[in-house]
Amino acid sequence: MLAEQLINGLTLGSIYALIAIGYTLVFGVLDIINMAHGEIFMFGAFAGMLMSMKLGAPLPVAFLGSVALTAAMGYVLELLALRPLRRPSGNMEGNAGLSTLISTIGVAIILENLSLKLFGAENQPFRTSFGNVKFTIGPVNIYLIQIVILLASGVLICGLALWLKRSRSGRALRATAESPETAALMGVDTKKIITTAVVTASAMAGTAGVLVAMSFSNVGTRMGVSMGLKGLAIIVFGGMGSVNGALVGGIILGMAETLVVAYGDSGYRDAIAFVIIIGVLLLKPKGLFGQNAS
Amino acid sequence: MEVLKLVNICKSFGGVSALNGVSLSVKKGEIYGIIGPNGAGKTTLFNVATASVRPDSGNVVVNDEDITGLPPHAVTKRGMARTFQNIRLFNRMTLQENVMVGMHCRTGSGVLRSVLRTSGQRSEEREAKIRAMELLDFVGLSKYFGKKAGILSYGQQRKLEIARALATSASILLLDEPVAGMNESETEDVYHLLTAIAYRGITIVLIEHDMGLVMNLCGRVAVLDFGELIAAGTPSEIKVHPLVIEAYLGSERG
Amino acid sequence: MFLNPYYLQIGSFIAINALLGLGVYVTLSTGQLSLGSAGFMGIGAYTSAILTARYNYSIPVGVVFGALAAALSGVLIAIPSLRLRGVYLAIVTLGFGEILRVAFIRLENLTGGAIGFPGIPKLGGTILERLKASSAGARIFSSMNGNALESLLVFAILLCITLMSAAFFALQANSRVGRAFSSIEMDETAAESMGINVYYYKVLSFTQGAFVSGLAGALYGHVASYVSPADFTYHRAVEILVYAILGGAGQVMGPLVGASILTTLPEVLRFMSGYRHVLYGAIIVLSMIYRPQGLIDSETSDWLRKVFRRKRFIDGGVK
Repeated sequence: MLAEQLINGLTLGSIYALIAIGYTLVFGVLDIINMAHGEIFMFGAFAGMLMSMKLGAPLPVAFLGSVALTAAMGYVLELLALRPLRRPSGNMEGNAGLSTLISTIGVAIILENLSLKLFGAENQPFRTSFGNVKFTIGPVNIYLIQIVILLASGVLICGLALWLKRSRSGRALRATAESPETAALMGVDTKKIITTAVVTASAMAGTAGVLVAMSFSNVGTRMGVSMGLKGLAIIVFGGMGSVNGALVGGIILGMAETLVVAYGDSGYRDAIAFVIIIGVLLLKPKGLFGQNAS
Repeated sequence: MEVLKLVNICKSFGGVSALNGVSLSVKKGEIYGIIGPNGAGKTTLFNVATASVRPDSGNVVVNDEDITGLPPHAVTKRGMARTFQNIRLFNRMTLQENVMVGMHCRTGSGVLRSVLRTSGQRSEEREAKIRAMELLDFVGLSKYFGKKAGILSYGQQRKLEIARALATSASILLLDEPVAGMNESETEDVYHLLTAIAYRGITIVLIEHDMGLVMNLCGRVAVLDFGELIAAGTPSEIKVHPLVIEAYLGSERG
Repeated sequence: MFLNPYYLQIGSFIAINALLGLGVYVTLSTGQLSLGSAGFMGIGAYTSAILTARYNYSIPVGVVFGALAAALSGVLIAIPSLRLRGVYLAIVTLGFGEILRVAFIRLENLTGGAIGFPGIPKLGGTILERLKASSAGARIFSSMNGNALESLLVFAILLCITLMSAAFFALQANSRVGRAFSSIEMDETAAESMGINVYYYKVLSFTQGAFVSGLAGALYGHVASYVSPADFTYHRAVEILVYAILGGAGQVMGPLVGASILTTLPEVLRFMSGYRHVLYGAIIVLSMIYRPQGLIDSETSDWLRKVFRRKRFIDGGVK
């Protein structure tokens, strides 16, 4: 059923977009890929599941709890693994971007192994009261959870776009992304802006985590890496640092994957993202929405 | 004999014309100045001449060979080297290594010979080191040969860039603002350096804002304004050229 | 103690990991950040495994063709990727690795699929048999513990190959080619204007990196005797990158030191049991904070060189 597949694709794509926007925000202000992003997403998923299933918290509370946890993780990440590497160094050797990249890889390794220790290697079920609620419009089935996901990610992405465009701090963030030195000269507190970006990105990853957990009805420690890789593919595809690119890229990938699984061979699902980005990059080296400035 | 000819060069960036039908020719052994207000297209002209920017139309002819469309390294191999307005040295290499990079296209040891340290490779390397020292000595920097280029002062970095460009055995040197940011005595140093280079028979084309240097050094001068060549001739002709005066006064007004 | 197979095995894995780190080093020496090492490693491993186990070629032939196959795919990736910079290249090479991993799983007829490829001829076993076949070898080695001897042989061979590769890269770094590499790393535009064919050297360094990664992968197959797609994942690629950067990617010594430390670390941290990898990650973060340029930078490397020079000088003086 094509219409159903398209809705599935759109739902998946909007989650991908949430993840990808997190990467893009951090890349925008710091020029690095946060390799721990996928793991933070996974912690968000587990936090939501555990609060709801083990502590019996109502879903909205579990949701907010997991967003708070991932935001806090973002803050700690910035404080302990990113900020210490940003000091101006007299040593001409070494590439600041590379060492920060490796530092986030270190954090990813910590989180991944911590999660194995805390949550175990097995996938765990996440049952919600409305997991099977669905509406039938003509021949098309729509699950309530899909509507929740589309609404939540839609609101978040629009909110973020508005914040970036309209608010003072959003403009400061864009200025910092453009050129940290100039922004600092113009009186922007870049330290605060960078922290804001990392915390916002992590909170969005947490949101995506809970949404994914609800829609797949289970959580596992391995979902961090697989989602992280797809997020990376999307930002490269859409153009690093571009929110629109992340959104469009996420939806295209979600659609492509769903359609390939539905009508093609599901074994190739995980390769699709990268086949697409390699194709796109060969044509546009800086992604669909990247600025190809000289 | 004309060693460098730019024929009807046009180049625009995103619809804004940077160069509009610029033609000029440089004779062997002369020092040729290019002046003009900021944004007149001087550096773009250099970028086109050295093939780092491809012109929309027009041709670049070096020693009677049309080099339009060749990659930059091939242009260097044909005897034309440049320096950059915003100094581009290899800061984490020593001075000597910087100059030796310049000799790349005049030396030939590939991976195998380099790794096997054949006798040919070793003598080539030895000669390259000696020649690098000669060139450093020529620009007055030999005592810093083992230091990293990044520690040099601004003026010294400009001189090192000239030494590196000379190391390519270029017969034509394109210098983009060789005395920018220098004090008077450093400027005078460069004046003598350029005279000495010209004395060796090397053709020099230079972009410069220091009018004193241009007027004293250059045999001929071309003036660019808004991407167009508005005048060319000897310094004394240029000084009284009405369009030039207007361009400079105009730019002061703006 | 030195014949303890456990230590020898760790030694062998250090050698293989150092080789992989060198692959990152040489690619990065022209400023190209590649996360394709695991993929190239896989190509090397499967090529050699198929050639030796299915078609009965000897191990050296398999290893050489494994490395060449990786190098060839390196060229094929490098050329279209020339326009990509920094993280874009990193992610594309990462994607290439993921595509390969999926291919390794799906091409079951060739690779054995997700279950893996068992029964790859063992490097040590094969050599040991040859030695025992000769009567002189049989007399010498009959007294020794076969298992320990095998491990020792494997370690010696791998160490030799790794040191030879390191020497290759060290000699290359200090030559016309090495200067071209680092000029490209520092400023591509300036390098180009100095007459350096930037495309050629970037493809060359990428291909060299793919070659050693393939070499390491092929050797890994003949040491472990079993490979599966799980050996060539994203995690592997990232691990290899960390070897090089933490050790110091600007110097040949760097990846060797990085691979040695990071391969030994999980073994040393065994007492921490479940938390050892958490600590492993924390050590990576801390070392980047306190030594962003890597453990070995040009100062340490110059210092080491001086120490060795002085020693050689004294030795000469005594004579």
